[in-house]
Amino acid sequence: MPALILLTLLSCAPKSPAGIEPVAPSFELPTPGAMPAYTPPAPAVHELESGASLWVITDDQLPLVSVRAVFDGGARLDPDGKWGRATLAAEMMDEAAGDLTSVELSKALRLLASDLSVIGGRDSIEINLDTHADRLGLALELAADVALRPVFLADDWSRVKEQHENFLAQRSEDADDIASYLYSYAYYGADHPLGRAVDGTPSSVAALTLDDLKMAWRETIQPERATFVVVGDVTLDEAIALFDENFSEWPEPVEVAEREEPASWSERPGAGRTLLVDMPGATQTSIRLVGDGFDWDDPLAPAAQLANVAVGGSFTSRLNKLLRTDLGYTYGAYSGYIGRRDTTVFRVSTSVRKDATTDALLKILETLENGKEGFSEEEATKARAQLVSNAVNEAETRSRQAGGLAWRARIELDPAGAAAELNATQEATAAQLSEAALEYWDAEQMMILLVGDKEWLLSELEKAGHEVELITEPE
Amino acid sequence: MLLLPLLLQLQPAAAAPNIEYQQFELDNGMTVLLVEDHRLPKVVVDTWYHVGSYDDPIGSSGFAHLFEHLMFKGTPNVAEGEFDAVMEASGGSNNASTGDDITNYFDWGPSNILDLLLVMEADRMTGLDITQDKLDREREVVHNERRQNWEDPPYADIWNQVPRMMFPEDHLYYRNGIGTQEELDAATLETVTTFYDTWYRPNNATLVVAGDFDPVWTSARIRELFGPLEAAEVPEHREYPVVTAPVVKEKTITDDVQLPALVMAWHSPTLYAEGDADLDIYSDLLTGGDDARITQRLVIEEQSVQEIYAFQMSAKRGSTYMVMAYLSPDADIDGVKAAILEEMQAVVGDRPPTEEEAAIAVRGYEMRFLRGLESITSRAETLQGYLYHTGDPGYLEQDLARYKAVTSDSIVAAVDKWLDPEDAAVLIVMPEAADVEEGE
Repeated sequence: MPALILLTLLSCAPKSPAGIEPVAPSFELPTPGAMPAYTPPAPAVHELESGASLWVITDDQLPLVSVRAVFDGGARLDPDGKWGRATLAAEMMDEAAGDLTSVELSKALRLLASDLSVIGGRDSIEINLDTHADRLGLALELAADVALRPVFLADDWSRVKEQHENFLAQRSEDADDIASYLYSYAYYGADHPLGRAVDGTPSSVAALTLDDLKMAWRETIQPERATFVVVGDVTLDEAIALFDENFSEWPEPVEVAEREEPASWSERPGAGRTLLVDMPGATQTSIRLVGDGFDWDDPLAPAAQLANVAVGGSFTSRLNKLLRTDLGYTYGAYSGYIGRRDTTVFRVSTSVRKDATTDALLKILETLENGKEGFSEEEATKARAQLVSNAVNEAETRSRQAGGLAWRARIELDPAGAAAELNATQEATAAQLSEAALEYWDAEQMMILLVGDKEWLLSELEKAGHEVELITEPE
Repeated sequence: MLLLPLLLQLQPAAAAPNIEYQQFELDNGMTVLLVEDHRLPKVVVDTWYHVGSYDDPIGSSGFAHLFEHLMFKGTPNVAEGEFDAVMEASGGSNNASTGDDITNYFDWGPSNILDLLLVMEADRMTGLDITQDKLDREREVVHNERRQNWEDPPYADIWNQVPRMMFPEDHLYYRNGIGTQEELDAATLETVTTFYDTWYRPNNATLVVAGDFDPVWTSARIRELFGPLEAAEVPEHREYPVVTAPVVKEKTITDDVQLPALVMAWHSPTLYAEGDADLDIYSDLLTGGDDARITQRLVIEEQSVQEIYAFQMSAKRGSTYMVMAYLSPDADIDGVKAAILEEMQAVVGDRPPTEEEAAIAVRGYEMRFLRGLESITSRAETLQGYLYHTGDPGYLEQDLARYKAVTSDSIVAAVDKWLDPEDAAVLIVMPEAADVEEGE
């Protein structure tokens, strides 16, 4: 296919009317041979004595190990009004832990030259550890302190809480940051698991107590909720011994009732609306278009991923080519299916100069609509190749590979499923890409979220036919 | 606490393994490195041109970066848009970046597209085809990049302000490499032509191919493709007198931010010069973790600072040592400044660096070196960096040795020589709502 494209291009290559005189000899670009086969490795899977899962990929090229401990739960388990509970519990876990104060823990980790962080997300609390293979045992002792024996000191809480409140306030000054967190809240609604304010709101964080955080920790850090992902210079047997030894004594279990799914969760409060958050003086407008994506068991899932690469998931995608290269409206325009448990969320993201906002919106909607009319075989071929390359890139470092497996654990995908999923994308046809576009890119059901200068945008958007609703960030 | 004594006895990790490579030079002066790595079916083609923002034409700040964008805009053989399209169609991708001194272009993809990548890089090395229309459209993209990354985000203006405080107006480090919107507009097609003809030559470029390839075939193909490209005399880079003191010592600005920020900056030793590695280690000692001196005092204990970072921004023609602190809303800025300086100066006074502090920092650097060898792209970039700055692509072991050689005394000497509180430029960023007077 590339050769065909090039023959066409060579015949219509523009003569430079002025400027640089090309001096390169004329030639045709080579046509690459067959793409080398690649199969993502599957981890060895083992159940630890505690009942926790252990996934291991051994790679002894360098003496490095990346560990991702995924504890199922996260903001999904935050009770009503206690938004941010899991996130702040995670932030407190790597303060004082075991016998160490937060300062001593930091020092111990730095003596081991090991990086450790704890992150509270929508569906999990996760501990990330990157260390030298020779120090894995000692680093795991510290990781076990953080996971199983956090102290939750009142002094630490006072500081962490204030820092988090300042983070929330600071985030409100950045249009792109606002758009990046607010889209799911506005589209799904505050109560929906996919809409929860994962970082909390100023008022919810102010009301959180240390007991709330301890409860989040106890609910989440349980062996049946735990998956340990290990990638690097360690064998399965070594890993089993290390994790059985270090992760044997777990917090007293508490009953956690997953919430019954109310009827309201099938609603999408943001669907079909155009929402604007005022950012006075912003020279650019941050734009998000949001809609329901595919479910993981949907037969159209492979084609939907390919369609996304073609429309907004690569540099030469239709959206980026149009908005950046052809029109100069933006530094970049992208789309993606964001993986959640069971399902995905489709999102278009860009930031455009403010006087181009209405036209950029029009072009985005037209581009999505055009996807329903068909994708070329070249676009489908490119998308297939890009997904294989992405899989290769993920295997390049231990931390990326561990991150990819942690993602699978987080959203409950088969640990060995990556190869079959990649194969399925290689078999999807160009016609199926259009089917996927028809299924998932319903502009009327999508929500448009804009963060920009109201004074400029409001009248322009209304002139362009948008019924704009002004919203503010959750308090 | 049982763990800590044990940790102190740990030996440093084994040194990072050196990267094996082949090196050769073409008749036109282009240096080539081949780095085999067959772990994955992937190749990287990494081209460095020895020209950067430091070489922006007078009155045209940001031009080297704008030109980097133009390098993707086509040749007679590869029409506009097709450089990326052809590459992505086969599973490849690319990116580029512009530094003060160099501009790098790196392509990666499945190993079957190596020939395609080499052909397209050779093609655009001397065959670029730029028109006024291409220049105008890409200039808009860069304007957008500037707004998105350097104007609208909170605190972004720090990176525009600090160089202006540190360097005189006629110095090329005075302006951020992204340039000003006005000076970006000043670039003409003639500027493009002159810049390309002057700097984009094989004898001003180095090429690294890394990954899964046959070195015999690759070596021959590189000679075939790049060998015929014509060398030309490349001018000396402009030289400026060494700047040792900031031009503006104090400045206050306002921004759309919630928290005040305090930035202190010093002129510091150039990359690889004596004191450079010492200041890296010193930074770790100050703010490398919750237990580091300044972080522990101001963030954990006094809680007057939310986040703080000290770092040596090493550069070829003049480094800058920076301390950036994001303060608590009601913090006493003068008090924080005094506390930071007190901790910084304590190493030359009654609290010199301990062996333990130095050991922690050195171990951290060992790990950074090791991680820098993980990806094929970072291997290629590592070798390029050493080749450019030291002339020896295999400098890795010596580089690590610089850090292992740091002692308490050498840190003290570097701080004493370079970081006199009187030589600091101090920038304060206040929330717009605050009742403050902007100015120098």
